Amino acid sequence: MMAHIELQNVSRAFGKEQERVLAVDGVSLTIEKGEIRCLVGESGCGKSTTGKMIAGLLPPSGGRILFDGKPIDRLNKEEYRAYRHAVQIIHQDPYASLNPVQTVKQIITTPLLRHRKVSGSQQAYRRALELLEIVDLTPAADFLDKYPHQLSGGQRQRVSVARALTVDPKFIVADEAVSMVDVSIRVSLLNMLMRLKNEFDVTFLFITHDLALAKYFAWEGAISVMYLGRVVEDGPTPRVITDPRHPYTQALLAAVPEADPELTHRKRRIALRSADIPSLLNLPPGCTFHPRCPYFVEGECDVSAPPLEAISEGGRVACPVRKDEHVSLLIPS
Amino acid sequence: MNLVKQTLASLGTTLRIMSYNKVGFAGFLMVIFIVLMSFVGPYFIPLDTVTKVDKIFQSPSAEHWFGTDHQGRDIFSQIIHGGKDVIVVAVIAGVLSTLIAVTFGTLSGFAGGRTDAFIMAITDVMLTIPQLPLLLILASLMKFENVTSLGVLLGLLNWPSLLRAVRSQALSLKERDFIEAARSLDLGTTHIVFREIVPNMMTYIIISLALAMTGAIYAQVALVLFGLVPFSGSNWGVMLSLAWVRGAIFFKDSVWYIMMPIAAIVLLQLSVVTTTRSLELVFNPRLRSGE
Amino acid sequence: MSQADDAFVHHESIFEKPPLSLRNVHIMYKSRKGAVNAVRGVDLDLRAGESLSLIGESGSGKTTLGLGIVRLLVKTAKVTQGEIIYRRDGLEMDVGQLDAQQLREFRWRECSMVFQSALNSFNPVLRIWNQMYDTAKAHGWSDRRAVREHVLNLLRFVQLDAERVIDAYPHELSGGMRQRVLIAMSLLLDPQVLILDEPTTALDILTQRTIIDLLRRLKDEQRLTMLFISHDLAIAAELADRIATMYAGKIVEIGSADDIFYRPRHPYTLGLIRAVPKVIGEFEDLVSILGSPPDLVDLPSGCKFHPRCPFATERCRREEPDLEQVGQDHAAACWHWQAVEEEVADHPLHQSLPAQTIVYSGE
Repeated sequence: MMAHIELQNVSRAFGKEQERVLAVDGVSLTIEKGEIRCLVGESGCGKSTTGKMIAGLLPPSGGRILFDGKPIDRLNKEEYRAYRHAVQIIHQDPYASLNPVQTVKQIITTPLLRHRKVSGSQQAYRRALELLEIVDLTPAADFLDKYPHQLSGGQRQRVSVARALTVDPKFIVADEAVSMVDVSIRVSLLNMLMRLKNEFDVTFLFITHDLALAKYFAWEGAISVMYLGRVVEDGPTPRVITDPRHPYTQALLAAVPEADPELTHRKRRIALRSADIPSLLNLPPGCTFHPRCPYFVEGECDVSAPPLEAISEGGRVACPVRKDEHVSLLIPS
Repeated sequence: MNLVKQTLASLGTTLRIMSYNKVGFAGFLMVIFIVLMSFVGPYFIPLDTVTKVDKIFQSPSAEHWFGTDHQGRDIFSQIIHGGKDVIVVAVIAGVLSTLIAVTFGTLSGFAGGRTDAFIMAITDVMLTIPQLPLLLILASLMKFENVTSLGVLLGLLNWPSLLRAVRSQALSLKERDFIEAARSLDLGTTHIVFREIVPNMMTYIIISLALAMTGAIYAQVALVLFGLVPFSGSNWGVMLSLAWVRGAIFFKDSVWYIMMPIAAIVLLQLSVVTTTRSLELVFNPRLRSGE
Repeated sequence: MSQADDAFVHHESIFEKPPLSLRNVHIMYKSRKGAVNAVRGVDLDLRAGESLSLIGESGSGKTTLGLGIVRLLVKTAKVTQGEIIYRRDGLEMDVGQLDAQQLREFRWRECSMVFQSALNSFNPVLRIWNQMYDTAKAHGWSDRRAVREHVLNLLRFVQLDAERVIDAYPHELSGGMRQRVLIAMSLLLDPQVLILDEPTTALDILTQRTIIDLLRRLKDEQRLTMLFISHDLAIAAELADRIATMYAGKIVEIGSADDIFYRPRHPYTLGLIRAVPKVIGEFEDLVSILGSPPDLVDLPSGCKFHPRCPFATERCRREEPDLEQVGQDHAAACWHWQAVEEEVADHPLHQSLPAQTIVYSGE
């Protein structure tokens, strides 16, 4: 099967000369149709930049991105338009992602009318109601005349999703889409997104720093872990979560506090050699995790960047030293 | 017919929103009042041009509401007749400078690159030239026969600082997530600039327009006061200039002659500035209470 | 023994009166939409040496309550009712009666607060040392060398490279380092109580872990009395001895950490716990709470949680329940806490920990 989205050695640099940083450094990954892919990592790891490049909002400075097998910089005008409509993005901050001076009705009907998805304002109105119902904003008519500031964070995110749905997307980049929403409604938002995947066959790239959310949302999909612009490990979610191989993935999973006192106190601590994350302006040579890695091997890890290598349990790991070692994250009782 | 109805309805809504702020709405009513008095008033109240030696420098009375000037002429009729030019110049100058600033400021911020560099270079040059001396020189070189050309001149000089502000707003708005969402939805640059960015700057633009207008009022009064713009007839600036020259400020009874145009100017300025409080509500839904 | 070590006093006696007692505290503030009842009658004892976590979502009133305790509310907000009693060494004071000077002393020496946004809490043009010394001086401690020694000890305690950090400007430090400096700073004048508002929220996972471990040390080694305010249940699970759940300005449940996580008796607490995923272990289904957090200007009648509650009955719409004893040192404000108890018995929250499918091969 042809990949829906494929990244081939994609890089993105920002700034000039001395200030130049490589936010994304040679990322290759493929996302199949109907898949849920999670991109996890800490701030500055390049996950959002990668999402923006996939959504066509930022051109890569190296490598290429393929949409349904075709490089997006080679698409003709019609194909490019189709690609832009097919890939939509949901942002993190519900307070910034909606225009504060437009009503929900304006926000949703504008793309409908502009792209001739409906004929006339009557139909646009009906379609807007439909879309609001799809994202569980009911009764839909009550929401149409509201301004964003009159809605709660969760409701705003739903409006964002409804707006994205106006152009019948096939691929949604959800960039920390539920991180700023209250705990109690996060799950219902995630379930709503999951329903879109099943009903409308939407493929998801779910970008998050929250491993627990990634695990919940992408249990049937895959996770890619990024660190300082590179993918260090990927694979089917159950494998990455229960049997992480890269020391960075292990450190992340071990560090996450759990909402269960007994469980959280039984987690193994992985002591890093350094608490500080290196600056993108001054990246260490070789594996960029080596100055912090507890398994650092001198003369190996600090020499050349390790490639992602497939492991038999599924996925790839960029650590030749530890890729075949299991580590339990719980202290045996 | 339908269109008329819709327009009336939206006008009604706008007025209702404006009335949420009492002070702003009072300012708005005052602006309407001053404009009506200045444009319609002259048809009903003739300008008193007859010199009456026995009535020089009188205090306000039932006969002369605002008193009389150095030739015994009625000040009230002069105030009524003297507002029109001031308002026309202020509106032309304010609208023109705001238009330039918004158009090119948004373009500069949104397009970036060379366009931005070019526009900013011109702006910086304009900003470094001191305004009033330049005005004085220009006014002494050119002859301003009518108010329109004075308004245009003031408008052409007044945009740089507003342009810079508009540009920086456009720059920050451009990075906002909802603009990115609009790009992702392929809504087009025109839509993004005029439907997404500019409406978010309207509050700021309106306030700047009001300030540009008040600035233009002061500038023209200053020009007239210095005698560099030879306006014939009645004008609050001319009145002020004459009153000053005639030493009206030195006597208890004659002080009215100098105070009245000042009061008229201040009142107009104040009303324009306070009106922005109501206009803010129209353009920024977040500020509306009770909704 | 260094200054930092003997600076901490132990408050272990269980007979000791609690250092902080809130009695029926109400806090209201004015908004454009009308009066907001942010805190509606909170009774709470912060016991000596314990760490108590206030959990709840946005609009639950937890941050307002924290700010109310140290009287740092915005101008439009006011404690309209109730009292905040602070005790130390057998002396009592009403925080509401303190004047400006006494309040400053109170905030540094007695009850220190660490805020959510670490960057805003610093003056950007002053070095860390200058900020610390200014504070110490303002409180009558002007022996420069002694202060410096104390500050260095504190910075070492929070595991920073003290010699380097003390002369750094705030912007030269990373988010995690700033948060640690802030915690060190709050300990400068040896307060009895530390209030932390979302201490780890904006931080990355690995940085968050260093802060959690630091706070653990403060709790375990120094026995500092701490009040955590957080929306993050995991922080509470990590650090709290007791947990209080807040909803719509009231404490709806309070109990030991184990009681709250494994034996919740309020439907809202139960809902929160079931809505939060865990990282370790196999997939588990999550259940979200219906609806959205309440509008504080226009609160529902009766129990404020009833529109979202699966256990709600007619009574809940009419009458608001008070906290009642539901177990040893465990109280909940729900008419149907027994039903919640049955629900938890049927679907236990305390699952057996994930089986060790993977053999540990390390060390």
